[in-house]
Amino acid sequence: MRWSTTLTWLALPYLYPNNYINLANAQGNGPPSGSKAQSGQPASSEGGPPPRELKDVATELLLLRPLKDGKVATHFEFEYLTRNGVPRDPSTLGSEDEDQHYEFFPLSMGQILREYAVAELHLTLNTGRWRYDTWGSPENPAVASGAELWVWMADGGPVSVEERWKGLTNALAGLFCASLSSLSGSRTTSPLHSFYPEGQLPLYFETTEPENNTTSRSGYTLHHAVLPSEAICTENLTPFIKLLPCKSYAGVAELLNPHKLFGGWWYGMGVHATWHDGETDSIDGGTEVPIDPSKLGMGSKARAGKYTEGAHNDPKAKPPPPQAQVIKQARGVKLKLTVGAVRDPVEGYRGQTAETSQWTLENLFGKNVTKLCPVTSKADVRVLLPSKEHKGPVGTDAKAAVPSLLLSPLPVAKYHPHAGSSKGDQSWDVVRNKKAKVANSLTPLTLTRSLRGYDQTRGGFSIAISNHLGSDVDAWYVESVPWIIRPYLSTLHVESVEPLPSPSTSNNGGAQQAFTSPNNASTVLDLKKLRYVPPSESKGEDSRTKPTLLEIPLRIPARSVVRVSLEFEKVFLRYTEHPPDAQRGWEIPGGVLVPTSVVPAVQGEGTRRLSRVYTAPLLADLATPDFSMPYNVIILSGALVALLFGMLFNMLVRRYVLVKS
Amino acid sequence: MVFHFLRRLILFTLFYSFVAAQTQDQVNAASKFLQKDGVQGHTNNWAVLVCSSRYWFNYRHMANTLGMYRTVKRLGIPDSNIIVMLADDVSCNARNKFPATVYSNNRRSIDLYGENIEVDYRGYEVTVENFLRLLTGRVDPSLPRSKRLLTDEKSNIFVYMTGHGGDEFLKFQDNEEISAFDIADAFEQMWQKKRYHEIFFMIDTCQANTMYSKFYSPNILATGSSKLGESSYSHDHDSDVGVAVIDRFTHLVLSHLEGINKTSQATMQQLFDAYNFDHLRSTAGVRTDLFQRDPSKVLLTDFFGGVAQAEVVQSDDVDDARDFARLASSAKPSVVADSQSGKQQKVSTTWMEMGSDRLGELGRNSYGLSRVWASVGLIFGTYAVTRFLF
Repeated sequence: MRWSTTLTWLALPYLYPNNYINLANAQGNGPPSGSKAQSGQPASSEGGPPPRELKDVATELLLLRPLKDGKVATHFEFEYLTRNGVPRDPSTLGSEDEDQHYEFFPLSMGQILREYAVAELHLTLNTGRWRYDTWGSPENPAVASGAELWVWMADGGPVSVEERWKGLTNALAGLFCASLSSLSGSRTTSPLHSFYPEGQLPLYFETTEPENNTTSRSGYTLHHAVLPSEAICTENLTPFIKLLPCKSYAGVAELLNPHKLFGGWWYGMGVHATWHDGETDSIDGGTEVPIDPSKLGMGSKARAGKYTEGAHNDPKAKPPPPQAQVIKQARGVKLKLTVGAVRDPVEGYRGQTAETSQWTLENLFGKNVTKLCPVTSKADVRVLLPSKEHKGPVGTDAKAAVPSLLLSPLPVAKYHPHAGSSKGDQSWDVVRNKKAKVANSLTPLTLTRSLRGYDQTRGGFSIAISNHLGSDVDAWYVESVPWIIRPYLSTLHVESVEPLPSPSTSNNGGAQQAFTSPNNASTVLDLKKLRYVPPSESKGEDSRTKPTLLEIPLRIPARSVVRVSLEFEKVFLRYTEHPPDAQRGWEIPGGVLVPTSVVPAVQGEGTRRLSRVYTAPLLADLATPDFSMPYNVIILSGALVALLFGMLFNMLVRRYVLVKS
Repeated sequence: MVFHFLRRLILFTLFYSFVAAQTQDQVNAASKFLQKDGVQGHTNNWAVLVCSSRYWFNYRHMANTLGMYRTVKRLGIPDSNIIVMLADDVSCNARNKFPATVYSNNRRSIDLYGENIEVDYRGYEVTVENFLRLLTGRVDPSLPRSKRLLTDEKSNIFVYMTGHGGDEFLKFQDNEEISAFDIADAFEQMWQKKRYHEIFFMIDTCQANTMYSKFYSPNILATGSSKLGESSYSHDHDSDVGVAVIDRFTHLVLSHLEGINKTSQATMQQLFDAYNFDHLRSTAGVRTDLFQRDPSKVLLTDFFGGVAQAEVVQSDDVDDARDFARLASSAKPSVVADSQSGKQQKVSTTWMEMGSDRLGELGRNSYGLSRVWASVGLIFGTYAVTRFLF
């Protein structure tokens, strides 16, 4: 096998020795939960019929990926499914909710989702900048710096969507100890074209809407908000761990050590709640759903009781990629909790010199997995093996192309280097011994955005989007700018379209067509489809709280860089509108590029959607006053008033007479 | 005619005094019933811990607050009853060499941040407005429970504040100030709204004692780190962290509290006696005039711990209870202190209080009865006198 020649891998007393598996199975007969008995039976398509109807399914996964620069990307994923659960119909919000039963699905999250009738929710808290160029595509595309929350909610109940959105942000702020409360007013936008639901949205009522789905997805509205300055630390991880059925006492969650995670180069956590209708299949664990380009952006016709994005209804568009594990997506509400960190395994390793890139779970996390969480039906630890050459076409995801090593006995692949290892020792570890070259895993699209100008009244964005693929890509570039910046739409233009320098590792030299001609710019940016939502038409208070939303449709030619520029004006702030640390500047949330094109899937069959790409946030320097100025004004005017009053008083009261000597 | 009217008037007055004496007794009994266990009891403990300083160089203020957090949590106040306000994030700050930790001494022996912490207000949310709203309970309906101070008239609240301050003000994030009058008025509003039973206010800042000088509501015990014109100083400096890591006053309080546990009988007075100018380099102050109990009889765990008084009366044998109460009250507290577990202590103290209350009630009853009879006698006496005279 390829990996064994390039690397030496050692799995010390490997995961879950046989006696322990038996133990877990034996425990399954115990009363506390029905799905323990399922621990040996992953929900796989060819698995035998389950012994009985399960309500909840809990799975966990730890993904380790060595990166080009010697760091290791770690990704924890905990999934909980309430079988046959359906998001609450907002029209029932006025009345008592029907009883819910959760086995492993976290109750507090379930209550929040029901209380505000949320169909789909994505909350991420990240710190740092994800370096697409060196680290490749992230395991989960939601890597926006700071806090990002986007939610699909259906309208049509006694409680308005705005009220529910406000309540939801507050509830999540309370649950995760984050300052999300400030999201609801000044940061919320509703993009129409770019973001699409990752699950499905239930249809509560027959829609007789006309075909223009551009205004709403059958009664659903998307609320999207980003708070780039939000930090994440132990106080956010603590409530997160409390949502897990075994807390951090068992399973891969044992490795959730804040002292190590938060020392990483990038770290974050996410909460993703989606609903799936059981009729459709989907690829496990991926957000790259098969999609049919012809149906993008529409699709109200063939909807039988559910809203589904694109090719879910199209049987020929979804042949399962052989590499990816295909499972029958069970019907129900799925909650995916993720924690990710990019750690440098060298730093802080006990007395090791820096030239070795050896790492173990112990030095990555400072802890080890000692127990299996008994309620999880599937617990995987996967190490993505680095390879010298990049397989597959350039631009495809490294994680899908590269073989991975599954370090757990479930479901099929077992890794048994020392089959007869010590029985008593139930902990295990992975050690990477040799320094290995990791191929540059290119992301299909890269995106940079920078701030122009040193002025305190004007400035501009310059956005460069590179397409490394051999085919054109259609995408939406979404910019939601806070109210302190007012973009001039008239200045939006494509500056240049240049071909990418041909990569040395290119295996596809045929795609070197030139796209240099400037008249190409008109096909790159289609202004007719552009969507621009100014904060408010009037000059009222709304224009000083609501953000501006820009959805820019772009067609990025194959193997080229598109440079777009946009100029803006900086608002002059009132004295009280400045934050306490005004000199630091205002953070502008990162822009998002959401591709709508599809590319061939890794193994050549089927298609997949490209995942979205974020830019780093920027710090805008606004004119800040001298904050002691009011006191100076008070003192000066006070002195002036005293002077005038004294003179007047003297003139009125005092009588000037000659004193006779 | 005039005399007739006068007689009526006198009679009416006397009759009214008779009725009043009776209703007063009923009111006493009713309030006694509602109050149940007298002045002593609180049934829940809350802590509001505020660090009002931003920026990395104010690391020590974050450490002060987190040190208090760790201590009150160790002594039994649950996270749901602790409101932590931290104006900045030092633990995951890029300047922090030790990620996700906050240390309060330069040996780095205790990690105050730990692996289990809940910060309720952080960053820009730490404002004077939010603090006053938290205290007075005037919050938005959608505000989550974790950000509310859900106290009642049986709550003992420990309020700890730290930051940079001056004469009668404390700065919030270098941007705004809270004045001594603001806090005093907020406490008064809390008292009127029955949002507390007793408050222990502690503040560690320069000229801290001026901050509690304006209080005027009952049942507040207050202490501060330095008097008017004095600065409060920092204690430890860590060269790896690069800044001072704790303040002297808080350090002294925390090291004093480190020696006690949930069942401790240590009193407030012992803490106040431990204040030491040589160590603090400032004059720590205590204000007791608003507080009804003697600090030497107030346990530290009344405010720092989650130890609540429990009602253990069995309704079927009140007589036995009364006897037991007499016994308990006759036996001096030395017996109580000797008993092994804290639970037993609590039980016996409850009996003691109850016993004394019941005896007092009996006394008051006989007194009220005599007042009734006296007014009856007066009525008849005056009637006879007026009859005789006029």
